[in-house]
Amino acid sequence: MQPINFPNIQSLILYAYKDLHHATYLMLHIEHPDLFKQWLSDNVDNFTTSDCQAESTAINIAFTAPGLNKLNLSQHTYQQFSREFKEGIATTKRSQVLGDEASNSPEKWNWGGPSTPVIDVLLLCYADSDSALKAQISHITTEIEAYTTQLQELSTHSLFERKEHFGFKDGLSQPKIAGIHTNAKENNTLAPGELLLGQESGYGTTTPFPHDNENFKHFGKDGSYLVFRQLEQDVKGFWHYLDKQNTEEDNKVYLAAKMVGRWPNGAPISLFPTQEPDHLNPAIANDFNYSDDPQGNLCPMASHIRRTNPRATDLGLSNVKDNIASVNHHRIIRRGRPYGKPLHKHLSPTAMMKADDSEPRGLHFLCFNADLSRQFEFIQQTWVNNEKFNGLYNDLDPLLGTRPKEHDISGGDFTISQKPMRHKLKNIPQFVTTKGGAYFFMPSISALKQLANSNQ
Amino acid sequence: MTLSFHRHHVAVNIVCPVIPANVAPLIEYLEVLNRTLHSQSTIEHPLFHKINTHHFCRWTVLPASIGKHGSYPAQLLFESNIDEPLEQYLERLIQQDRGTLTTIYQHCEGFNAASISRYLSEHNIATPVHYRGAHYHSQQQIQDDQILYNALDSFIDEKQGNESLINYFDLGLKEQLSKHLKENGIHWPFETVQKRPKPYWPTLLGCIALLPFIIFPLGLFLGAWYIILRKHEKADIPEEHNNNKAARHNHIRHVTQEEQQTIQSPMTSIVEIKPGRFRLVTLKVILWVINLLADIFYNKGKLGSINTIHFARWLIIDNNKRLVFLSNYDGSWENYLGDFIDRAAMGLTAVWSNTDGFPTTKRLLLQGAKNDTAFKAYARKSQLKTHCWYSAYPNLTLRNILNNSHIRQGFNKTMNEKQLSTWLARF
Repeated sequence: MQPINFPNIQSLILYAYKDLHHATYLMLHIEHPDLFKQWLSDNVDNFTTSDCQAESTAINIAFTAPGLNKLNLSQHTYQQFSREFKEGIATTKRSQVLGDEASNSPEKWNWGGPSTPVIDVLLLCYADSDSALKAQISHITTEIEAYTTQLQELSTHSLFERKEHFGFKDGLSQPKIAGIHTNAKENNTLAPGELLLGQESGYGTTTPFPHDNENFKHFGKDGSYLVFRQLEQDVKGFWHYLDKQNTEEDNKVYLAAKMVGRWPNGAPISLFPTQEPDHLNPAIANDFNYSDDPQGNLCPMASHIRRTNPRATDLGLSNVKDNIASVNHHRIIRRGRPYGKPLHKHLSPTAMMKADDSEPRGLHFLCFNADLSRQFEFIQQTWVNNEKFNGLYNDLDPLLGTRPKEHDISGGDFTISQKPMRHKLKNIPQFVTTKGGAYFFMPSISALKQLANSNQ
Repeated sequence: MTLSFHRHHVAVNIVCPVIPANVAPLIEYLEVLNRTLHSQSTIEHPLFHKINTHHFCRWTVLPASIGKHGSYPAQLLFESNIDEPLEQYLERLIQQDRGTLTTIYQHCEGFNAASISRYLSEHNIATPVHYRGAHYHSQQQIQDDQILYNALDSFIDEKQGNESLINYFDLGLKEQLSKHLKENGIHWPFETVQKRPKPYWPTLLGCIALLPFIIFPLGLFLGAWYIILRKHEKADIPEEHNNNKAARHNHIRHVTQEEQQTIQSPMTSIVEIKPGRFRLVTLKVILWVINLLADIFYNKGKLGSINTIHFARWLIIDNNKRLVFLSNYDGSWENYLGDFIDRAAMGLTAVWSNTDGFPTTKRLLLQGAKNDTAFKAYARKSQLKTHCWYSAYPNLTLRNILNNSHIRQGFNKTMNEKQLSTWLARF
C-alpha cells in the first residue's frame, strides 16, 4: 500500500470538520478563466489540507466536468475521468438510475438541472461561528466577483444533538479508511482507493486516476469524487403519516424507528428492539451487523439504514465475512449537513406530529467516493431505489424512495417482519424530494497547482 | 391448470444472416416494436403477451463487424426460453402473429414466407450452456404463483387491519390461509407437487466409480494440457483499457440506453474466441462442465451465490469464431457485474479467458475477472445493444418467483414447527 500524502489531500475528504458548526456552499460559474486561474494560483495554499487540524475556519474547492474543461485541463487527461462524472448527474439515463424522476426530475431543480446555469466550481466554507463564516464568505466573494458569477449560496443549519430534520441522530456510521483513521474495526475499514483516486481499491487494484505525462502528471491522484444533492425533507408529511397510523402514541415512534433502523437518539433497533434507551453509549452505536437477524425481525430488511449499508446481511453469500467484504465495495463517506429551520426546536416526534409549517428544510447531502457507479450510484440504484431489495416485493427505502414509481409497482409498502407474520405499512408517500444536484471532483493540492498554471 | 406445470425449459437460439441493405431498417423496426412493448399503456401484443409458454425473449441484430480473426456478417439473433418443444412453439408463434414474424424475417437472407417454421428451425443452433434460475417452473405456473401470493397478501392485510387474524399459534394461521383459498375456489396449490431438479449424487458416484480407471490417462492429459495452457497464457497480450476513452464511453452510452428500465434487464455480449484449436477445445470443455454443473448442482436458483439470474446462456457462432453471452437478470448492471467478480470470478474467467481482450489470467481460473476495472471494461466493450426484449413477468425477481413457489408448496405439505415458522415469514 502506498503511504497517504496528507499535505496533498484536501481535508474535507478525510475529515468532517465536526467542530466547525457553521457552513455555506458557494456555487460559481467562471466568467474569466484566466483571472480565475490567477486567483487559484494566489490562494492555493489557503485550501485546508488534511495534515493539520482546521482551527476556526476551513475552505475546500471542487470542480464539475465543465469547470475542469474551462481551466484547460488537457483533453487526454479529461477523457480519463469517469463517464458518470463527465456526463454529469442530470442525464435522462442517470435520473432513472438515481430515482430523479417525476417530482425529483432535474427539470424542476433549483440548481444543477438542464434549465439552470452551468456550475463550474464549488467552494465549501466552514467556520466555528456565524460571524467568522460571514467574514470568510464576504472576503472570498469580493475577491472573485469580478471573474465569476455566484449561482448559489447554500447555507446550513446545525440541529439539536446533531440530528437530521426527521428527528434522528445522523452520521453515526461512517466507514474508516486504512492508513488514515486509526482504531477502526476491520469490518468497517476500507482500502484508501475506495475514497482516493490512484490508491489501492478494495479489489486490490489501483483506482484509475486521470493524468498525462506532461502538465498533468498524476493529476487525479489523491483527489476524490464529490456528490452533492439538495434533498428537501417533508418532515410534516413524515410525522403526519405516522400520526395517522392506527396505533398508540408510543407505537408511532416505534414505527418510525423501524423505518429508519435507529431510534431518534441513534440507538440501533437491532440492539434495542422494543424501546429507546435513555442514553446511547456511542461506543455501541455500530455494534451490530444483522448476522443474527436474517429475516429482519429486529431491523426490517426495508429499513433505511439496513439497505444503505447491509453490513453482514445475507445477500446470497453464505458467510458473514464474504457478505461484509461484498457490501464494503459499495460504501461512501458522507459529509452532508441539514439546512432550514427545524419543524420543532428539539425535534420531538410528538410535537412534530402536531406541528404545521411547510418552510423548506432538508439535507445538503454530500459524499465522497472513488468510483461513482460502484459506490454512490450503486447504493442509490441497487439498494435505496429498488423495491425488490434482497427478496422484498414492493418496498422502496421508506425515507428516500421516489413514490409512486412510474411503472405498475408502486414501491409504497414497508414490511415489518415479526413473529408469527409480517405487518405492512401501505401507501407510503414520498418524503424526500431532490431539489438540486451535481457531481464534482475535489482535486489534490498539486492538481490545483497544475490547473492554476495550465495555459493553452 | 396442472398440465402446464413442471415444464422443462428449452433454449431457442435462431441466428439468421441479414441482407446488408436491410440492417438499418430491421434495427429500426425492432426498436419501434420494443417501444410498443415497454410503453406505459401496453396493448397486448399477440407475438409476446398472448403466448403463455415463453419466459423471456429477444430479437437483436448482431451488427456486421471486422474482428481480429475474421469478418462477420450482420445477423439477427432470436433468443427465447420456452416450456415446450421448439416445433410446437414456432407453430404457436406463427398462429398468433404470422404478420410480425414475416415482417421481421423478410429482412433476412433466404427467407421464404411460405415456410416460416422450417426456416426458423433450420437456423436454430445448439446451446452449450443454458442456466435456469427456476427449474421446472413454467411461465403459467410463475404467473399463477404470483396470483396466489397477491390473494394471500391482501387477505393478511385485510385481516390484520380489522384485527381478525387469529394470532394464537402458527398452525392456526396456516389453516386460516388454506380456508381462505378453498373458499375462493383456489384448489390447485393443494393438489400439485413441485418437480425437483436432478440430484447431483448419481453423477458424482459415477465419476468416483470411473476414477480408478481414468486417473492415469487423465492425469497425463491434464499435465500436458496445463503446460500448453501456461504457454498460451504467458504469450497473451492483455488489452489496454485506458486508451480511447471517449469512444469507449460513447459505446457504453449507446448500449445502456435501454438497460434497467424496470426490475429486470437483458444483457447481450459478443467476443472473438482466441485463435487456434487449443483455446476452442478448452472453451468447449469448460462450457460442457459448466452446463453439467448448472444442471445437477446450481439448479436451485443460485449460480454459485448469484441469485438474480432468470436465464443465461453461452453460444458459439460464426463457425467457432465468436462467443455470445445472453442473460436475463434482476437489478442493476453494477450489481450483476459486481456479483460476477465477488461470486463467480473463477467460472467466468475459465470461459472468457479463452476470448480476446480478457484481462490477464493465470492457470485458467485465477486473476482475470478479479481485476475489477479491466473486467468491467471488457464486459462493457463486448456488450451490444439489445434491440427488442420481452419479459412475461417483468415485475418479478427470481427471489420473488422462488418465494412464491415455496409458499404454494407449503400448502401441500405437513410442516414441523420450525418449517412452519419459516414458511410464515415468506409472506
